[in-house]
This record gives sequence, structure tokens and C-alpha cells, in this order.
Amino acid sequence: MSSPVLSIRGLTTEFVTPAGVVKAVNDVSWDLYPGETLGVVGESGSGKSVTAMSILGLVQSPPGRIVAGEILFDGRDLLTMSARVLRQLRGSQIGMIFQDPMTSLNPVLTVGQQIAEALQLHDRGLSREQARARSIELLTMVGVPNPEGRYDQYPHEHSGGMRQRAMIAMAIANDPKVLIADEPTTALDVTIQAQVLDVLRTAQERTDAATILITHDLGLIAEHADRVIVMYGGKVVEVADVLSVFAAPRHPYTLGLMTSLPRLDVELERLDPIPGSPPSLIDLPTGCSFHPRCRVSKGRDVCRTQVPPLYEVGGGQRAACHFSEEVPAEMAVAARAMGTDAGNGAP
Amino acid sequence: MRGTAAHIVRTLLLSLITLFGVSILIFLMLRVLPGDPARVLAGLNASEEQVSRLREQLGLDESLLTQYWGFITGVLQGDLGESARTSRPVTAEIAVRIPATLILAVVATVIGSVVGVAAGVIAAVRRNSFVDHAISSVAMMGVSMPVYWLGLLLILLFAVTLGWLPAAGSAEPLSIVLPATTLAAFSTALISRMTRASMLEVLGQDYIRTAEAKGAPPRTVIIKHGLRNAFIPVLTVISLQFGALLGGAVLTETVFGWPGIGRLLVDSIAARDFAVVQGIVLVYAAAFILLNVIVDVLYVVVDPRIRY
Repeated sequence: MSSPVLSIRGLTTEFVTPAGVVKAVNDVSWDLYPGETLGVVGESGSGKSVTAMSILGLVQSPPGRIVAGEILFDGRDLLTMSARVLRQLRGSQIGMIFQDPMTSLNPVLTVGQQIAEALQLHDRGLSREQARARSIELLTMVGVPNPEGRYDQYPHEHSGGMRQRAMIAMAIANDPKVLIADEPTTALDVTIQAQVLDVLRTAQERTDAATILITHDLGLIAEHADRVIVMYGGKVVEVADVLSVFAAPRHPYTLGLMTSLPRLDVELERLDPIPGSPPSLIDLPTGCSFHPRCRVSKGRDVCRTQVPPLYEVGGGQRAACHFSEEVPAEMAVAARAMGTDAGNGAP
Repeated sequence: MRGTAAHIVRTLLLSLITLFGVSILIFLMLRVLPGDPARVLAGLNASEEQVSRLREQLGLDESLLTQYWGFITGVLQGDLGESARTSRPVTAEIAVRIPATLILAVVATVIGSVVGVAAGVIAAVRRNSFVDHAISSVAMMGVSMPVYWLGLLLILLFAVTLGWLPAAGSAEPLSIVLPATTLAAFSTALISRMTRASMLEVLGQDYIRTAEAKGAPPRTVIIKHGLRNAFIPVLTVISLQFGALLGGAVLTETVFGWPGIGRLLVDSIAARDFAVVQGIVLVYAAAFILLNVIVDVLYVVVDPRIRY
């Protein structure tokens, strides 16, 4: 594989709150390679979005602060560079698509102005007319009908799907090397989701940007990602290519995510959720932070006392579990309970 | 825009009813005030005969309905009657005073808006810093200090001690500095508090994060993306303050001997000069309505989501 376009090493981001220090991202490391789509999954509060905000340098401080780690982009550390240099990268080299297109666009500026601004911020020489022409091109690319007319409309005159297309146009305006999509379809209608994802995929192919797709939707990951990172309690618990993860997850949490999904092919009385609730990031469980909810641990001491590192489990797959070799057997149990074959675990 | 034009016409038509109501209210309120205007005008030494002659002259011996009819038909013809004190037309009395009041209100509003918005934005951007607390303290003083007290202090410092500015009157161009500053103190404080609160809310919005993610520098984020959104509620406060300054500058005008309409109103009330008081109140009401229409139009300009 070629060298990564983005490398995160030991990233730790905290928030200081009256109740205590929240470790939102806790010693996270991963690489993003050119052209790939990296899926980042995990439930709310697992640190997915904070990781993205840390990359862009947009963690509000106070209360947030990045206390350790480095984020290497093209060999340069984003965390130590000056605000000015980082600003030049934001929106040009690294594009970002946010979750809620209803609130992410400025209500008093036209959609076109906001796309043109993204262009002009990074190309001072660009005239108004050129920026307009290029913005209309971008709107066309993301499948906005009547782009000339849409250019002069305000966000409130656009539907959610149209707004998210505009957000994508804005994010890819400067052909970024890295595109971060943070729950890009969560706020949209199901019928619109597929269209927006198609647009995202097209945009990504045109710009050849490496994409970080942050989501809690495993279906989205299965369809769009090349590799997967599973986060839990601010830590990476499993890394693998998408096929391996769905065929043979090696972390009990990943397995739990998969078995708790509703399925079309099996008649189920009820879903099989992960017991318990997400951990408090102020007061994480000792050892493996997943152990209170884990069905593999079975109360073994090591789970309570030692933090498992990300073990290599073969085929480039890594899992932060002391007993990752027991997970496939557990999966077979779960599959039998559902009456299906474990090998075709993909939802 | 067509909707906006229709809205303006509708508002103005409706305001005629408001003005009619105002005319009745002020007419009746003056009539129930204790004190006989004829007696006040005639002076302490006047005989009963003189007083009743004066009363007849002023039409005060007629029924309320007849008096009101005379007043309102005059108004509809642009005639607000005659001042009982000076015997000059009320319209002329008001016309002489309006420029002084208007210029004072405009200058004070401009000072209040510019300084208040700037202070509010700085306080919001540097929230909880020393600067923020300093601005809050000064604003608190501005809100709580009575204008006559502030006015006297300013006169003492800048006119008496330093001798930089005229203490009273309106003869010199610089005369306006002290009364306008005094009058602006309260508005500035109010506008800065409003701007700060509104900016804080806006700066937490998702679209601010979008602007930052685009690589916009802080100034662009704060002014272009922040202030334009935060300005909408501030505009309301500014317009209300301007309206209040038009009518409420009585104390400032008195302290600084400023020949505005506020003093004319107070003097006329004291002298029971009914025609002048009625005229001024009607003009105030009309000005307020006009101001509201102007602000309605400004909303459309500032916020594209607002359409009538």
C-alpha cells in the first residue's frame, strides 16, 4: 500500500466540564490511504465526531483541548502548525460535510454565495464571475436541478437533500485530498439518503479524495467503505477491511453491533441489543472499557484489570480484546440463535 | 417584494385607526387633568370675567364632543390648532422644534448602534475575559445611571473643568456632543448587551462551524457569518431606542438647554396648552408608526427568510 495521506497517532482529546474531565478521544491512532473510504463506526459518544473535529482543528477550546498525539497530513503535524496555515488546509485540502444540512448552511447568505466563498477563500485571484461559474458547475455535478436558479436561492428555499448536495459541493469545491463526511445522511429522509450517498460517491470519484465516512449505520459501511474502524468509549477497538469485519468480527462490541441489527432475511421476535449503556467518558470502567457489557469476557479478571492493546489478529485485522479468538465462536452462537449461517453476516 | 409593498400599505391603513384612537385618548386625558387652562393662562391676578372670556375664546365652554369635532376636523385638514400661549399655529411651533430633536436622536442612535454593536461583538468573541467583564460593568453603569446625573457630570468635566465643549444651548456645532453622548449612554449599554447575547447564540450555530471548516479567517466568520445573523434582534432594539429617543429626551434637553420637542411638550403640559400637547402626541404616534414600517422593510433586507 502507498503511504497514508493522513496519519493519526495517539490522539487524545478531552473536554473539561464541571462534572469532570471527559476523555472523548483516548489514544486513538489510524491511517487513511489515498483514494480509500474509511468507515468510522460507533455509537453516540464513542469519539467519532470529536476525532473529525480534532483533525480540522475545530474543537472548541475551552472546554475542549487536545492533550496528546499528532495528526500528520502530507507529513506535517496539523496540531502544531499555525492557525493560519491550518486555515489554508481547511476547506481546500480537507473538506468536511456535516450531519445536519438544515442548520449547517448560513440562513442569510444564498447557497451560491456560500459555495463561491469556499472557492474564493482559497483562490484570491478568482473573480466573482469565475467563482459563480465554477459554483454552478459544482451544483450541476452534485445533481442539483436548475443550478443557475438554485445558486441565487437561500437555504430555506431548498429541501434537506438539496442542501446536503450543496454542502457536498462546498466540501469538494477545492478538490480536497481528504473528505470527511460526518453522518452525512442521518438527518435526511430514507429515500433521499441513497441519492445523497450516490452524489457523495460520484464526488469522491471525481476528486479522488480519500474519504472518512463517520456513521453509526453499519449498512452504510457495508456498502460504501473499504476499511472500517470501530470506536467505543473514545478508543479504537477494531480495525479491518470491510469484508473481514462483516465476515468475522474479532471484537465483542463489533459483534454486538452486528447482532443487534434488524434483518430482512430472518423473522425475529425481537432485536438482540448490547446489554447496558455506553460508558461514562468521565469515569471509564477499568481495564477494557467494554467489559461490563461484554458477553465474551464472562467475568474474567484480566478484562477488568488490563487495558487490551490493539492486537494483530491476522489479515491486517486488529482488535483490542484479550480474547478476540473466542469471538467467532460467540458469533456462531448468535447466528444459531437467529437460525442463520454465521459466514454471511453482512447485513 | 410585492408582498412587502402590500404589507406596508396595509400597515399604514391600519395605523390610521391607531392614530384615531390616540387622538381620542390624548384629548380626553388632557380634559381630565386638574387645573383650568383658562385660569392658568390668565394668570394669578386675573378677574373671573377675564378668565371666562378667555375660556370662551379658547372654546373650552363648549361640549367635549364639539371640541373634539373641531380638533379632529382640523387635524384632517392639516391644522393642529393654535397655541394658547403664543397664539401661533401648533404646526409651526412643532416644526421649529423638530429638527433639534431629530438631529439629537439620530446622532445618539448612531453612537449607540456603532459603539454598542462593536462592544457587544467584542464581548461575545472574548467572552468571560477581562474585556468582556469590563464591557459588562460599563454597560451596567450606562443602564443604571440617570441621564440628568450623567449629563451634569459630563458638563462639569468637559465644559466647566476642561472647557473643551459648550455646556448648553445649540448655537455651536460642537454643542451636540454632550447631549448626544448623554442620551446615547443608555442605548449603547442596552444595544451592547443585546448584541452580546445574540452573538453568543449565533456563534454556537452549526453554520459558524461550516464557515470555519471552509477555512474562513476569524474576521469573516464573526462579521459575515456571525453578525449578519445576530443583527436581526439587535435591529429591533435599535429601532425601539430610536423611537424612545425621539420622544423621551426631555431630561437631556432640559439639562443641556436643548431646544427640542421634549421640552416644548413638558412646558405645554405645565401651561395646559392643550392644542400643542395634542399636536405633539399625534406627531409622536405617527413617527412611531412610520418607524415601525421602516424597520419592517429593514428586516426583509437583513433576513431573507422574512417575507410579508
